[in-house]
Amino acid sequence: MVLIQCQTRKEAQPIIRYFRLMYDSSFKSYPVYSKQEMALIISGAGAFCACSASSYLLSRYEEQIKNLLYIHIGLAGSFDTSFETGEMVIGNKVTSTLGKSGYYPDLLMKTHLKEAHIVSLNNFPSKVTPDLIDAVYDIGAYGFSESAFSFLGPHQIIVAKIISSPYKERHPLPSFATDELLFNKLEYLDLLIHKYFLDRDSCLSLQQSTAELLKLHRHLVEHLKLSETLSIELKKHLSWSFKAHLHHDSVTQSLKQVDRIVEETLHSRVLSKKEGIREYKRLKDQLLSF
Amino acid sequence: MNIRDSRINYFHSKYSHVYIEKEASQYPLTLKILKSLPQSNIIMIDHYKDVFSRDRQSYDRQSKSQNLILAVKKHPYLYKGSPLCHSFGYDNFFYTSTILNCPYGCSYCFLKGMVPSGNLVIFVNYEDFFSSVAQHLNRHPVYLSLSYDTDLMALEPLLGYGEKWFWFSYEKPNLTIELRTKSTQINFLKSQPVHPRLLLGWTLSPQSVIDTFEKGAPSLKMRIEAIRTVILMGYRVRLCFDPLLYFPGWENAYKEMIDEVFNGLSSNEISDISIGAFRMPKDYLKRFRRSSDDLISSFPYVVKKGIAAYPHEIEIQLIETIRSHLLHYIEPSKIFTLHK
Repeated sequence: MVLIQCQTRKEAQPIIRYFRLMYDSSFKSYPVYSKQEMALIISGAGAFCACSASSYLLSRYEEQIKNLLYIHIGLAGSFDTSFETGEMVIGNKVTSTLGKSGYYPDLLMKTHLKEAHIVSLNNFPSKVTPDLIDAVYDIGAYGFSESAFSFLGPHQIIVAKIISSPYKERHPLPSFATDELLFNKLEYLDLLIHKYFLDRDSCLSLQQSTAELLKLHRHLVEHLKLSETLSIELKKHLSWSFKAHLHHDSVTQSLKQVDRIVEETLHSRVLSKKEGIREYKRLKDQLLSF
Repeated sequence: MNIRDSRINYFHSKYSHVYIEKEASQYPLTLKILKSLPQSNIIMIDHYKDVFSRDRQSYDRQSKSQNLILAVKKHPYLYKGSPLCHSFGYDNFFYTSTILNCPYGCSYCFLKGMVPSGNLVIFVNYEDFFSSVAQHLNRHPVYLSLSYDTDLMALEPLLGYGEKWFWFSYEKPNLTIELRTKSTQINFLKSQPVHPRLLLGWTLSPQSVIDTFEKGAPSLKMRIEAIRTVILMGYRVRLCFDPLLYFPGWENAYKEMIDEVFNGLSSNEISDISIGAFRMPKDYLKRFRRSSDDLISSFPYVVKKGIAAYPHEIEIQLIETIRSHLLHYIEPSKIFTLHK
């Protein structure tokens, strides 16, 4: 699941268009646009709004929290002349002028995008201060990070900014231009999302087989009349035996091997808990041997 | 090249990002490291724990794109050796951590349970470590393990820590140092005299274990070659068959490895051998299991006195099988065994 957060509707429009998101009326407190595996929230401007909107959206997807990717995206300014108008940068450090310690998203995936230190301000700066010289400034990234880093790992967070008012131009761009800027850069973001999910899917490839093992575990616990403690122990043994076979065999073959080991136990006569424990001990030894 | 091709490695290369504590920024070693990594992105931080100790980090993902954190270590610089490790009869067994974490991604490593991040912390103020050791030496002799939380020699081309410790300890008769490694980075020893109190130890595993569980570490053949080279220089070497792992085909794999190791090595060139089955403090096991889900992490370990280990029968089977096979090559007095 990918969550995207923007501060304003102006920033959200090209993203909604690019990813073909639909207004989701099940969200009452903030405007949210979604499709399968993706949701975009418009937080409103300011650190507080950014923080509370991300908490709101994350609470909705609490069950998927380990597999989420959360992206904060929007326009930003910079006094650093090495950044061009329309350039997309990703934050490797997010701080605030309030002086609190920073947040550091993990940038593990290769990208051609430049990286930047993002400083969140209360207002647009009227002059260059030392902490802004090499940085990119915005309003909401720090507030977003305060909330997102409380729930997610640093590898699950991306702060992406598109430079709309670099120092040399002085003036922010008109809205039709920012719309195009954002839309044209979204392919980079799309690729980052794609890479994140390729990695995640490789980590989740065993989940289906885990479901099979859980089914087997449930049958065994019922058949052997096992206590909660022994049930937990059995789950670990089944899981390990499966992985031991996986050392040489395919997923399907390994599941078959585990099935074969437990088959006799599932057909054994168990009339009491005592008999169940005896059978369980025999099975445990079989699961640990090769 | 199709950028959406799933076979392409999408992760940044090693050390693509270097985080630097403000206090560490002007140390000579920091400048040397940065000179060796001109392409890396530099990110200034207040304290190494701001990055290293973040919550919910993914150790395994970070290991695929390991980054550096350069920091200044504060007191204490030396720690008492753990009872889970061999002390080889030395009374004042200490270890030190000039680096936290390891460049190799071994699946069974206790570091996965101990540290919250897959990134490497390098403490650049090595002279403070030397001062601390010198203070201890004024009171008693010291046996110091340098590679306890890392593989120091694997990082020798980048840091040169092996050579620095070599010369610091060379003229201190009551300081014995141990460098344990899986690497083949022995070049720094070639131009030096033989250090009489430098114990070089190699952790050896069957090639099938290296392929499956020791990502990025040199092959068994290359390690044996490195051992032969340092023996020719005049060193006696410690061999570590630790941790022994329980996996399908373990018995043959370990026996074949021992035969390969001793093919051409004689027992008097080996100072000693340590063997121990996989074990880990119970408190580390939870994080260890969270960081990966493989044959090692998912084993239903038995917890006794705060240590998670294989059930007694399996542990004995592992140790005794390896020990009895080693006895074909080496006298029993040279074999140190650690039971939990």
